[in-house]
Amino acid sequence: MQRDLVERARQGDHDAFAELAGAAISRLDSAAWLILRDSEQAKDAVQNALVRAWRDLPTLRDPDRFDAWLHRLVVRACIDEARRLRRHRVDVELTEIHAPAVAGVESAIADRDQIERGFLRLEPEQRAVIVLHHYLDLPMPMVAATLGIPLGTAKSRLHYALARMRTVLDADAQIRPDLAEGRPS
Amino acid sequence: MTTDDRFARNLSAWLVEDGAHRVPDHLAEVLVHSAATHQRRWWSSPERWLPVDTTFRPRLFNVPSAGRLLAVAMLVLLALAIALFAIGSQHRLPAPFGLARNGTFVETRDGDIYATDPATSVARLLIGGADYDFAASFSRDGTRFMFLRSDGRPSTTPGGDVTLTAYVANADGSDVRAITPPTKNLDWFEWSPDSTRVAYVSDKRLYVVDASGGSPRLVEGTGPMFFPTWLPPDGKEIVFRSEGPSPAIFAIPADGSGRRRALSTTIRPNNEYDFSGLNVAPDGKRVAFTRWYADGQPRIHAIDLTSDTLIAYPTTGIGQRGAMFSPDGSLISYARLAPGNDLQMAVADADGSGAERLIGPVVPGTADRAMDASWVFTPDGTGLVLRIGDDVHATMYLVPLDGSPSRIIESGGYEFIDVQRLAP
Repeated sequence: MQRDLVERARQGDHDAFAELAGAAISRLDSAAWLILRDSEQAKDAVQNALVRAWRDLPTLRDPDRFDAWLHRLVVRACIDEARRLRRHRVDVELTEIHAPAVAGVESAIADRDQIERGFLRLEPEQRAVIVLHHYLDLPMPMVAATLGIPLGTAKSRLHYALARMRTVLDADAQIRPDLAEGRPS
Repeated sequence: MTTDDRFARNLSAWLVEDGAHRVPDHLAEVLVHSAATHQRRWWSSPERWLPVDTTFRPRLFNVPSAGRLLAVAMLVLLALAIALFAIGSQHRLPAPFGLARNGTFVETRDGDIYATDPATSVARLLIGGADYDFAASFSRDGTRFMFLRSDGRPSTTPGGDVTLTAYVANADGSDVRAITPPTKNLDWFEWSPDSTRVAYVSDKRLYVVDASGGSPRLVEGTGPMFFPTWLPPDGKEIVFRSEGPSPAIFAIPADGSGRRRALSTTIRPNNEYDFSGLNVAPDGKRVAFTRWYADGQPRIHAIDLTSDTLIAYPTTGIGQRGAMFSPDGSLISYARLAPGNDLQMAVADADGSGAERLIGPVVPGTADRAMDASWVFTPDGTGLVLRIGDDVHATMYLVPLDGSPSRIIESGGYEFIDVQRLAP
């Protein structure tokens, strides 16, 4: 089904492309938001990526690789967007986590709160690897293909991103022992 | 469930929760833009023309012609000339220690190894392909380099094991061959002074392997160790740091024929992080290292092996790290940390007799980001090749020791610099 849509879109059928874009935009928008942490930037990145996808679709050699190709375009658009605005202050949207006040889950909530703080400290390139692997569930070879980098580079980038998050969390926990012990502040 | 598992699960759960609330409302806007955009022609992408061999059909039979025979004869003569030149050049290898002429710069980018011309910044691929290759390091005679290759199975878990294989290639990138089997946690390797062997660490144990092939040999009796460095000038012993709550610096015969011996009997460790980053002077008289003090800052020191005394290198900064002796052993270089974690390179007399001299750019530091800097002396001893940045954004400088302005060699995702030594 998707292959047929891709083939039609490659031949200039804009309705087919609209169907592909409609099916993918929610996933792409979430991924872009996670990487950039800014709604407007994420919207711009996804828009640029999808317009570019339409423009370049005829040059896509393998229709079965459409999803990976689209992810690559979005991630690259995110990184371009981040670099363009790197010197500007990024206003961070904080998402409130509505969790049930049940004993035993407090520790996990605190962990996620810390995870968000650690994640915010990462560079967009590092966030991209984490989002591709841990959010879009792409296996590492696909992450490497999506980013257009060797497998070893993708693995080391993920390794360092996670290690950096953990370093930040450890430092955070030392400063705020109440969080380290799983108690909400 | 391990801490890593919990961390990964919480990370995935948080990503799903955080991304779930997104309700994109700009599809219509996207489609307006895309509809107004012309699609590229399919043939405009060069990728579609690859691989070219689908359009190339070699002839099965070739009829020799007079011109071709002449060309073959010329090629034979050329090969003979190259062989004669190579034989004639064999004695012109640099001595293992001391000043040498600067040769090729090698570096890693995205898992491939390149040779870079420092004058033009033009990079030429030496080792490419799908494997992840990195950490090229020239032999002391400059004829070969060693590098590490990921076998494709490094763990993605923080703190997990990494399996690597060591390879050796000729300086021009030819004759690539593995010198170790795939090895868990292979780390910190160094060429022997005579360029025939390599010492390396795997899981805190010391191995020596012949650079021309053969089985690696475990050097027994070190205990948990790191930073193996051949002791000049003869390289009969390997210096290392013993790992543990009370580290020390030892030397042990490289051929496994004897027991380890302590290089200092008077200098005690400050803590378990002491004596890290060993660097041995080319004359074998001093061993430099980093000490960590109670204020949390690192300082550079050296042991004078002839007198078993501790040498300090006074600094105007708040810390020093990364000791490295110059090729002739007269100077020591290190990264000087200033308040705010600003970083600048410094050189000082190796015997600790003079003040430090600051050279090169000042790199602003940040409190929440570790500065990634690496450097080597040029073999002619006139400067440092300094790389600052991460594996995506880095700048490489040529920093003259005489205080004249630094020059940017290149910018990009280059790592792991080394410079070939050539006969003066």
